[in-house]
Amino acid sequence: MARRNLVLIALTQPRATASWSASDWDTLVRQARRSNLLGHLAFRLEAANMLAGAPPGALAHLDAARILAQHQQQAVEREVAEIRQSLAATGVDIILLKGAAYAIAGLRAAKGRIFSDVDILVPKQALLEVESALMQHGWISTHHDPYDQRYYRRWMHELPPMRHIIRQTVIDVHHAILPETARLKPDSAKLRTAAVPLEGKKGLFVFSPADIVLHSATHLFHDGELEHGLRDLVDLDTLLREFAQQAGFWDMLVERAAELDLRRPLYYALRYTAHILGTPVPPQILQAAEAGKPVPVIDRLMDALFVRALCPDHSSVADRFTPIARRILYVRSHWLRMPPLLLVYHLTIKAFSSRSSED
Amino acid sequence: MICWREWDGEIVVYYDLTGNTHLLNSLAGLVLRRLAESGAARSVAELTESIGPSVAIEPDIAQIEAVEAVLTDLERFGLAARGTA
Amino acid sequence: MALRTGAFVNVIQSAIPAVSEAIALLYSNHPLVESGGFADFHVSVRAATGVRRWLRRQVLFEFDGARPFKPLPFPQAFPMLEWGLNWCVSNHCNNLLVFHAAVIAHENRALILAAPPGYGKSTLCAALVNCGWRLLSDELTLIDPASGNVLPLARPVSLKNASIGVIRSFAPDAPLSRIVTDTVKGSVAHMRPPVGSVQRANEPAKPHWIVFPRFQSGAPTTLSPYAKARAFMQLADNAFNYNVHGKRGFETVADLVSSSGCYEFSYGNLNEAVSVFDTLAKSAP
Repeated sequence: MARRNLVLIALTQPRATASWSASDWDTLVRQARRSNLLGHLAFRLEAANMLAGAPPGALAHLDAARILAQHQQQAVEREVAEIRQSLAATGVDIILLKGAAYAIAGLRAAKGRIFSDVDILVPKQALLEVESALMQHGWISTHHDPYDQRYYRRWMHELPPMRHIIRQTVIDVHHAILPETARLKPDSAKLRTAAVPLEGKKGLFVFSPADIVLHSATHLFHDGELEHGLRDLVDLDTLLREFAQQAGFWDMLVERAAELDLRRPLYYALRYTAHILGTPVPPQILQAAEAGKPVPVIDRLMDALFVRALCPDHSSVADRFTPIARRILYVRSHWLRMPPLLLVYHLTIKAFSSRSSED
Repeated sequence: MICWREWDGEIVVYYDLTGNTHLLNSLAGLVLRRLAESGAARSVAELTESIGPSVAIEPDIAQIEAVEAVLTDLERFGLAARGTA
Repeated sequence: MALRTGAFVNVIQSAIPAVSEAIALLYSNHPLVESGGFADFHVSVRAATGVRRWLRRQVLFEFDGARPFKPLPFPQAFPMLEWGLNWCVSNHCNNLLVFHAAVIAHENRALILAAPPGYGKSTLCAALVNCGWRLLSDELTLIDPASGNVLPLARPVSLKNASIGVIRSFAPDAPLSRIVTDTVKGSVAHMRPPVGSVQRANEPAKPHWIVFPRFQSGAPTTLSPYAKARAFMQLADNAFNYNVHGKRGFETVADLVSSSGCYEFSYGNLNEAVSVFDTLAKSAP
């Protein structure tokens, strides 16, 4: 079975697909689907004019992913309009995060994307008011387990996700981009001050370009879910390439990372996007980002872990060590978010309650 | 952006903004069409008159109520909005 | 092994004897495809490992390494494969409009049979394809928005409970799989699709009739026209991915309804039902 990461090749060297066999395209579609990149791939290959060589079966699946993504873009737009309407009376400024931000701001990173929840950021002091307004307009809290509710409200940087009772869509309301218990402390007030208003949508904002990148970097290298590591890395690459066209962006990025205590995630973000996806990061910027570098021993270990975990989660690419790599990184993510004692408590409780619900 | 098709007096409508599809009976279909044709806001009485038989000088109460009910439904679907005169 | 079912190539892996036997019986007329090409769906059905292996054995369906369903009791291995293959199509084919409806054809004019479970749509479908109608699908009607045509699958027809006995008597020569009992749908068996249907599985058909059937014991056989606007709503409701297609979905279903005769059909006697459809088939376009 081929060990090649065809998704990476198709993204970084699309012309190479011209000489591919039907079997290669078969593997590509399967790997891409598992990495949640089928839609993105469809748009990238179309833009690179490389769809002509694809077998009809592959074209159909790429087309299907593209159509689904288009629908999802519209669905996000509708959902954001509903959210905006529901929160209008509070007068609170709403900052869109992640996928919803990309979609509404019209960024390239939104193309081909599958969206799940809508994430927003509001000031901490407005949390309860926002929660209350959402409830009045039909959202109810998920996570009814009292431990989970306590965990979210006390330790996390967000309310437990809320689901709309009719539309069944989910909203995550954050007041910070990392939990208070995390080791890194990016200041929410600074993020909010630099936020950019969205044209024609009063009260709705997205982060500044540098902050969007830093948030994405933090999300990828800090968060528990690494199954879509490659997709998130591709996000970063897409964002960086688009923002790179703005004058002064790279310098701003480095400055901002220092200001927000996010040098470490930036270091990893630039290192791995450049190394794996060939993102054209200027050498002096890579150099400057080294300020966030960990000690060499950790650096090498992280390299080994990340490179494996950032591969598509598919049998054609995994090796014996990949599941372990992912587990270690999952534990590391929690370690970065929570002090060790709490980590044991949380993981034990979660492990226990999920087992009891299985039988 | 509203798309519709009509068969035998019944109308199906697709509304781009909500992504919803609706089945309207002939009265509701007529009301929606009149609203769309005129472009401007119309009062309930005006609408009833424009729909009702051309013979009537003044629309009767039952007809007005029926149109009012249709407008309430259309409002619920986001296809029409109540404004002030 | 790789099997072609209409527009799709399925790579199926299973070491379970009951599954291989059922495939050998029900897919005997289906073209085998050489491995190493492009396949639409890579699936496997295998026994679950773990403690339950020794107690009540279970079977798993996997789609390219992912498990969309909970395990089922081991005897349900073959039905699980069929349900899994249906899931593959209804979940992934967003380039097409996929309806939960049966579809058959006469001289390339397609007749769509749409009804909730238990209304006799599968029984009717199974009977008709044994009387000269071509089987396109008993479960999934696939419409290509670009052409408006129906794309065939020609896979085994699934029968439940009383239907099994009815079709056994109606078409005693049609090969039937073993009956699997105690599934979530009751007792289930699958009928091999007629060889002619399989041979023509790469020929699309143009939609011509839409029928909403309902079986009621003792009911008179009646075919009556059904309001098109309502037919539209019923169909859209029965589609897996109507919303995904947005405006184009609306236009496709509207065109479908416009170009088809729409009917309600009530019946209590299968033979009478079949002759009504015969008449329909012979009617002028």
